Amino acid sequence: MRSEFALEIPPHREHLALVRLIVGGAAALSPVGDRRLEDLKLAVSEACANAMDAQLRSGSDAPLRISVEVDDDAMVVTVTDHAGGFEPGALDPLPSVTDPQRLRHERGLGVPLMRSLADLVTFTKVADGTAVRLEIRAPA
Amino acid sequence: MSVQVEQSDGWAVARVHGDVDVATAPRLREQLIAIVTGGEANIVLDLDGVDFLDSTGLGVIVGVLKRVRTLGGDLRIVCSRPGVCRVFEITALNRTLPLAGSVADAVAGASPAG
Repeated sequence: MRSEFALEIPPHREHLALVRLIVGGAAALSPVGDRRLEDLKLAVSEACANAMDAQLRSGSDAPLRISVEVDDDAMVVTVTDHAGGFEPGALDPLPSVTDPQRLRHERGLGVPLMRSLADLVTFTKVADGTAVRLEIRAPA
Repeated sequence: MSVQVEQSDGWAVARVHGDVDVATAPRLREQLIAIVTGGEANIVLDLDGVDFLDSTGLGVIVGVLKRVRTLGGDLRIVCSRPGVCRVFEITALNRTLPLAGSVADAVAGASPAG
């Protein structure tokens, strides 16, 4: 079946567990969810945590928008913040996540993890922030 | 998220329950660092009660690993939940920090080289 909905949550870390609960519940609507539930929950949680950090830095307390689309073949979650924009290419370069040197860096794992977990990750500049779209498809 | 600490054969065993994410990881860091500053450099971190682990949680674990190894100690991880183990596998952290199936296995494991 196909399901689409969106929610708005305060940009505070305490709400991450709630986001995971809702997204995990939505995943149960799709056969993809059975096998990719943990990937989806972690990727969405990382995206929301980054969005919350960005908003904290920008001083915006506007809610994050989380839109969810699930069908039989894919789950797509888009997290939109109001932090004024973010360029993943402008991040400080870090060693690959599989490079032992990477252990010197405790932060900044979120985006590489999202890229490892989701089949497709896109960052789009929107009016006053960034939309991160995470797509997870059925295993081939 | 909660942490219970007990002793086993010279190791401080920290059993973590609940979700370790960017909201709760600072508390995990505080509690693990309290173990180290309390004089224990050999720690087993039992993640079998953990339902969710994010990159911030991994960062805390890496930070504590570096700290105890600097002191000549070691950090060993117990993890048998596929969802949590997967985070270590994706980041290849399991090569640096092998995952044990139980506290007994972790304690019995060979001392790390170097």
